[in-house]
Amino acid sequence: MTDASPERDAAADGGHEVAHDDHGHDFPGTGSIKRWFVTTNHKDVGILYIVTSLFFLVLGGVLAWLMRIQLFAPRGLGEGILAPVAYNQAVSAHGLLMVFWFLSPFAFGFANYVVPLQLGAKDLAFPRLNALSYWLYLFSGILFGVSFFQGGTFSGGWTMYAPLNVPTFTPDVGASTAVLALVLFVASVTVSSVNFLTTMHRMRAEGLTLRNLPLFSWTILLTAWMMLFAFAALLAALLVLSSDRLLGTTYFAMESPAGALLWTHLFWFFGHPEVYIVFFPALGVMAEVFQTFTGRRIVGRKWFILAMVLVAIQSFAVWMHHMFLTSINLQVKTLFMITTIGISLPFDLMVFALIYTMLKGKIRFTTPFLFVFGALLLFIIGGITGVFLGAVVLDYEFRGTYWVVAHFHYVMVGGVTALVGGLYYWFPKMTGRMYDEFLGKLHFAVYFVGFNLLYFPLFVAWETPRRVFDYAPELAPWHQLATVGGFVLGLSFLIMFYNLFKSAFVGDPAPDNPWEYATTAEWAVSSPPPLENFDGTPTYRNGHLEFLDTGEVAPTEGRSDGPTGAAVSDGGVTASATTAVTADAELPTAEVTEVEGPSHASIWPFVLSAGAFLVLLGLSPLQDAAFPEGMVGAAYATTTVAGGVVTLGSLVAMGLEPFHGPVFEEGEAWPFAGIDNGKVGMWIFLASDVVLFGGFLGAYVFTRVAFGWTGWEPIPSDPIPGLVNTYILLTSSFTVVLALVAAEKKHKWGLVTSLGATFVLGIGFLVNKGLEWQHLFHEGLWLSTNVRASTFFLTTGLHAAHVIAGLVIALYLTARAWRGAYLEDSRSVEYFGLYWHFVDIVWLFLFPLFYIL
Amino acid sequence: MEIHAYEKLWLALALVLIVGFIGTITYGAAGAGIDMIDDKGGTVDPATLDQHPKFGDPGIEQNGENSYDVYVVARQFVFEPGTTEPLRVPAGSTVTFHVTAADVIHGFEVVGTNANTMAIPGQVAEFTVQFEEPGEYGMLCNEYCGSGHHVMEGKIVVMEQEEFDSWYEQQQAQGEAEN
Repeated sequence: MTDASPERDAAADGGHEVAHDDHGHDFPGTGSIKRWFVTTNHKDVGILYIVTSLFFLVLGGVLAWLMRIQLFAPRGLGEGILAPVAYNQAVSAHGLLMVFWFLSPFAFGFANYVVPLQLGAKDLAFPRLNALSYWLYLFSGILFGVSFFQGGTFSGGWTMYAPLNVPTFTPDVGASTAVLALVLFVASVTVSSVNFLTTMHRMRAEGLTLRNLPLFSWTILLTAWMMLFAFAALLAALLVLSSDRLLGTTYFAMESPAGALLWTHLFWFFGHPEVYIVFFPALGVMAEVFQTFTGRRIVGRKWFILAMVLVAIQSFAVWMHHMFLTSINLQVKTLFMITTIGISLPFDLMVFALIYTMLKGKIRFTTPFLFVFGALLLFIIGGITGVFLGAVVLDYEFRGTYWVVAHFHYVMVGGVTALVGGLYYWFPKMTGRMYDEFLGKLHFAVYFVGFNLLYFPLFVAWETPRRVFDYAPELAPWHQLATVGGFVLGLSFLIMFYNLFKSAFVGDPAPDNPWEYATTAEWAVSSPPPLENFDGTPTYRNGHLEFLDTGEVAPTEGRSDGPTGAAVSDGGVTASATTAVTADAELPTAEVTEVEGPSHASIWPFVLSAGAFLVLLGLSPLQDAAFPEGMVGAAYATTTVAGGVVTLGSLVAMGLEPFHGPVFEEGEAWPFAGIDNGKVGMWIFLASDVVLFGGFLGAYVFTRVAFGWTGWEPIPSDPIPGLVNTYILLTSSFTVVLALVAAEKKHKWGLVTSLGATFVLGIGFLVNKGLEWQHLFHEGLWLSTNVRASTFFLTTGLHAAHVIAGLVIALYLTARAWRGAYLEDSRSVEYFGLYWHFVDIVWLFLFPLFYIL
Repeated sequence: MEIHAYEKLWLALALVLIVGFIGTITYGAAGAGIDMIDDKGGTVDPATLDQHPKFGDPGIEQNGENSYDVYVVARQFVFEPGTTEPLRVPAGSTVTFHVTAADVIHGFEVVGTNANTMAIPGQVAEFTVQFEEPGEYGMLCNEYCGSGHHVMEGKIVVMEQEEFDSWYEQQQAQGEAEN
């Protein structure tokens, strides 16, 4: 794709079998393998997500089967099919795979496919970043798979509690790889969140205010906001953990004050919103399917939305209920008990709204409806049993028992049930063919029986302790029922795979809207929809969906996919593990001087993700910042370097590639009306970066308080180098402003000089810092010396990684400015400026905290 | 606004359910008088537990009439006491547990009772229970703690008071003899 032509216009492509664009070339049809590697179209990416996530469902499911076989009878050591450590690995990997690599991506497959259609957009705001999210996701999953073959994957449970998660206690290389796989997954999620948020706030059709947004889109909007912040906190936790494992810092080491508690705080600050992140899309599917198959608008729609917004906000204030058995003081615990009970109230409202919608409507029992109806029942059971866990006192009784296991499987797999309903619901839209209704209902029957046979006995046998395969013999019959149920549930998916696979090829052709009363916009276009979704411009200006001929509106130049802010995050963030990944997609596209059709293909997201995969794989055996001795170590080191080259090269290629985002007429864009997509994306990304640094600073403050605030001396005995660096950074912020002014005045040499000055100042910052660190190393201080040194080196190191990422961009901008870029369109310089100022501001917090106080 | 009688009933039922839940929880938290784990246990240095006055030689000690303190250290993959020798407590007395961990996070669960806590290195979990009837209880770790996690278990023997007293005196005498 290096010869990518700017004229990649496949707008006329109405079909799905072959691309027959007039300008005739490189966007292959869906039958071509190549298509799936280069596509940036949201519908293709959605399908890729769904298929991949189902693969991980099977993988996680097989692990669950292994556990259920082991639990068929109470086992002692060496009995059954799993050795103790293998059992621990199976449970941990099952949890991680299902929560991260199956549930959310499955839901985001639908989100990718459906949300732009519901918004009236032709694609997501940043199509290449969307493809990048997918490929990062796939490669992170592969990396996780690799971890099984490096001495065994992580075996400390999906919560990865410290200090078991440090190499002292889990020395396998695979355990590090699993953590790195999660880092890569979080990169994918961050890119995706920024993309969805920008799209959903900026690209809604005229008249489609947030109030009128379809409920599925609403749930995705809220999910994306929660993901943006929650996953940034997880990223902080994972980067600290990676550093503990690979570089030898001692945040979570046993000797560190409150290291174990620090991890639980960081993890659950992410972990509880994650529950809603996983569940909300399922709720959205439920709402859509209920409305369609009861033929009635949901009762209390406004309140339903309000309830969801409340939950989304409150979800960040309940995390300590996972820590009721730790030594947090009672006042705080009581507070969190109240917020936890409180968060169940909006859900009551939602459940009642759904039930009441059914009562008022006229139900048609199709397969999708059966699944979401089943999901509602399961969620009610899961929800009610969870309320008890919210009470501190009952926690003593229930914690660590199968009550908890049964509860969260009812909630989580209840959510899966709704999503499976969603798969049947949107299958005709995606494939253009109907599934077999009889087989669909059969699947539901077997699934529902299997589900309850699997999980209900766990409530009955709730006294079984968690995380061990030994239990009281009299509970064995219940566990045997559960094991049978596990196989019934798992095998029921064979019916679905057979049904959907066969129907995709030979099913009855589906009309535009196979469901009467489905009202959202995806049903107003053909099945499957054309490449660019709508022939005309969708509008709701008269209160209902209409399409305006393209003549009626003058399409403005796609203003999206200029600087693709989101990837910065992941570039900058991954950089703390390896500077090779620091460069990022901030690299702007070629200056757009002519109006062209939108692009749909780029191979670089794939290549970039493959490069990042290699980098992380190569880094996995590091311990105390050193590769192992001998050939193996050399092979890993080579992999890292090769991956770094691929990553950097594909970033530059992506920056240079002419690529045009979707053309759109700005409709409803609250609250970002009139602000460029690229700028909105950059601000949203920076918001997540704030949380990332917040996590690091929070970890520092928490550790220092546990250590004793006043007894903690700053690591650098001399604050002067830090002070000098403060001045250097402030000056460089000034030169960035000058660069923007020069660009706006079309003053080429002013621009080049200012950008060059910024670059030189940044280098000065790094050199000064390097000298300071050298000095500290000579004093005998190292990352692993003590937790004080760890926090100093890692936090300022993360900041330095951000500086390096910024310098790579600055270098790129300077080189292009030299050749005359940015004078017509200075937005790239402006967005870089936002990032750079942010990095400077962070330093203004770090300097006093780490040098003075 | 006109509300159908059916809807009113529906709303009323929903409210009753919600109030019921909140009531149950509130009673459980405040009314039932169950002692909760909080920060009163304080902190210890997990690296030097051996030199700790209490955790250095963990076990049971009397602190008043019908009142005992029990110090338990959880480490990979034993409870001290509990695993190599059972933890003996008297029936009917008040027993305050002080539980900590020497390496990673462990669980401390007396199976089938509400004596259940996390054992976190550096933190001491403190809670008070009463064992009513003599008998035996299993004790196990319900947090992943490593390769030997599945064998990490122990036993609590609840003894009649007199039986316990004679055992306890014998222990004391033995301890003094050793010193």
